Amino acid sequence: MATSLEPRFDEVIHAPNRLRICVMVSAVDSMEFGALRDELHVADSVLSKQLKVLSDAGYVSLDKPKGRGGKMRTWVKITPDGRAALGAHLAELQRLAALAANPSGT
Amino acid sequence: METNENAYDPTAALDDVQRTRSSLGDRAAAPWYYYPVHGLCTAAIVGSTALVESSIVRIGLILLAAMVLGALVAAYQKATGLWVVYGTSTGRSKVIWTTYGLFILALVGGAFAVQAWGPTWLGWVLTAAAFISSIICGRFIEPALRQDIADGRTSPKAK
Repeated sequence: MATSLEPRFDEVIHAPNRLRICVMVSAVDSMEFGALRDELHVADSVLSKQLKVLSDAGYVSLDKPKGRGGKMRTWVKITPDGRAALGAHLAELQRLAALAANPSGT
Repeated sequence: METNENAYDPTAALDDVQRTRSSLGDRAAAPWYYYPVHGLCTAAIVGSTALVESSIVRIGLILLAAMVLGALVAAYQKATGLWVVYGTSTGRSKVIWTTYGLFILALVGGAFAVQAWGPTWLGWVLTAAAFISSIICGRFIEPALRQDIADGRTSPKAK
């Protein structure tokens, strides 16, 4: 389990859609599948695939409570591991961006 | 769909993070009726505590208001697709929500005092204050929450 915000590049998170998903679900307690799909402007199948990758990595959890009339709505929540990995990845992105802006490090 | 991963440089990724947060902040806007109905429910709780003599009627009104509040939160979740917890925010939205919560608690305390000793007119004042404070809270908390999300202040710290 990641335990600090030490910069660390994360291949799982870095893919554009997965980075956006992690950023969104880390900003709220949980986010509904349809809302995520609308924000990303992608098809259900694309979002499902990205969520599976994140879920397999242990970075998000999916909850499917039954709504009225038995309608299933999927809620996505970031896990503590996912939050730690996102924090470390964002710190690494900032470090790399700063390095690119000032390669000499002066 | 992720064919350009290698071309996704850190600066572009960080720009994307900022855009994503701003867009999410816009999504967090509550429906127009949210705060007026919220205000009516809190006014019903404070008013029934202060002004209603019958315990059964009072408890019935409070339970009804609590049920409407629950339905209101469910409607918010359905409309926005978000479940926001102010406790995780480190920004202005948490300060506003905490201040509002303490104010409502004070009003409920005052309502109990009115029920026991106070004049009826004061109960109406407390009831009106509960309604108006909800409207005012909504007016300030919406932009504050949007800004907190955009600034990344609603993300709990990594453990």
